[in-house]
Amino acid sequence: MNRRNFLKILFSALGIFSLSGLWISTRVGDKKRNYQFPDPLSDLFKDSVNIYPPGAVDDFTSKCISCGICADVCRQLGYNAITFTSLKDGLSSALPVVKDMRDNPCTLCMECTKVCPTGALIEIPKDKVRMGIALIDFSICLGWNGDVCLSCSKACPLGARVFEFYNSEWGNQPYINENCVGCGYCVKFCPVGGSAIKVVDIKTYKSGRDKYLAEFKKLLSISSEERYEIVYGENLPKILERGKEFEREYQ
Amino acid sequence: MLFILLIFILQFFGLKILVGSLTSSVIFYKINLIDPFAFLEVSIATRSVTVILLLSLIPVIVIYLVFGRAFCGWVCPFDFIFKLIGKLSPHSKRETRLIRGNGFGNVKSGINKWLLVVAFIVLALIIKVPIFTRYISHNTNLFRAMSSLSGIIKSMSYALDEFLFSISMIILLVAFEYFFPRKWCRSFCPVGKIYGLFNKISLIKLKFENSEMCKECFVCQIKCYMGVPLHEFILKSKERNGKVSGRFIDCIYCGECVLACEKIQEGVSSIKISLK
Repeated sequence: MNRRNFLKILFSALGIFSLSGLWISTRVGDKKRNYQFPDPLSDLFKDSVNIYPPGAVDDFTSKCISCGICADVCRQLGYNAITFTSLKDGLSSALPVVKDMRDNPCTLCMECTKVCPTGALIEIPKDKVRMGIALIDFSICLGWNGDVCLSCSKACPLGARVFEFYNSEWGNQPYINENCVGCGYCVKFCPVGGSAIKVVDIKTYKSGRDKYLAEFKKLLSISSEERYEIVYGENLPKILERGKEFEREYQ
Repeated sequence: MLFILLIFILQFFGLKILVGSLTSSVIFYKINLIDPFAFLEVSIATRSVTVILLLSLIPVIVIYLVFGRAFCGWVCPFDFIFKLIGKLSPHSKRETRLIRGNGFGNVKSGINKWLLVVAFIVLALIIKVPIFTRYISHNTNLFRAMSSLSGIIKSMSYALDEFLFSISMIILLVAFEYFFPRKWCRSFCPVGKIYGLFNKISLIKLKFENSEMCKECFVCQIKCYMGVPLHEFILKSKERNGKVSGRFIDCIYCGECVLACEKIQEGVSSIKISLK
């Protein structure tokens, strides 16, 4: 009798413990970043977006069953690119995403697409992949503010297919066109603290596309005096501030 | 059973023979496998069946066309865990609960057992997300908990909430199992229900032989924790000289009834699990 009571109490306690665990797990979110600067392009694309692994089909959320094989393969090959969304995301939670592009971008090895058992990821050629699109924040990019940097274009696995350059006295101005696959290699190799490039998914990109292109065209067309004001007045102090962050990031 | 589980667990120590979870996995990164209920849910959520899905379903179908619902009794890790809990808990009360559910004489219609299967499929149809397989399935959660735990140990702390969620779901199921023994397996688990359909056409089935030896003690019925109507089965077989089909959706071919019968009849069991 004594033992039975003990077990009863034990298992009810376990039940309550697990319920509270469920409750907590939906509230434990992403780890906060340890630097205080906003994301690049945070005023244009506010929402944090999910970048699904390469080869994700259109109805990815209804096909993925979160078995974790893709993440396992990715870890096995040493890339660690694929992680899972936190449970705060509602019905798109527990899905594989390429989240931390600053440290672990997708290498486009396409191994995850070969092992997916539900067909949520399908094997397609590398240049047909559309994980998202990388966008350069012109206000903190070195190439747009009087420098010749080229780090992003050197890192890009697709190179000249994706990068366009608008050379002028204001630097070697890089522009990423819509052939971009969104792997995030440029994000990793950008020397600006916290990266000057952000990868957004296609849907989010379409919503902010006009504004982004308008900003791009404005920068190319304005006069030298105005450009001088922008570069030396606003952008370079920002970049310098982030430069300190860069040192901290890679210590 | 432990052997298959062991192969699965080896994946967290670097030996990748069978990778993934029991809902879907991949052998040597070449042959994909998917659980039939997950297949059903995904194909209904997406309203289409793709070649990849079918290719991963075929090996599973071939295996269980032979073995029926043996998945539950021989592969599912929760059968093992629940057995351990059964050993832990005081005997008498658990036993009476199980036997009460066995339905001596009055076999339930069993329609309500399909409620959860239908509910999850309708849910998948409406919100276009395989809810059960991704969030609730015990098999997904167990392996997700293990893989995220191994991730945390290797100091990749992002998987903390995932681990917490999965382990909570499992502990919840374990606590539920203590208070309602085998209720999950019998009435709720949709995965097992779909495997149960294979019982109707599988190669192996239950057989009643040596009817003169059976003294109608029905220990087999008491021992059966899945509530297969063995009582009825034996009586009918005796009436009709063994011409009753031994195909029960609930039977998981665990062999408890055979072992019990062998013990009582000194080595010769009347009930047998046999091919054709």
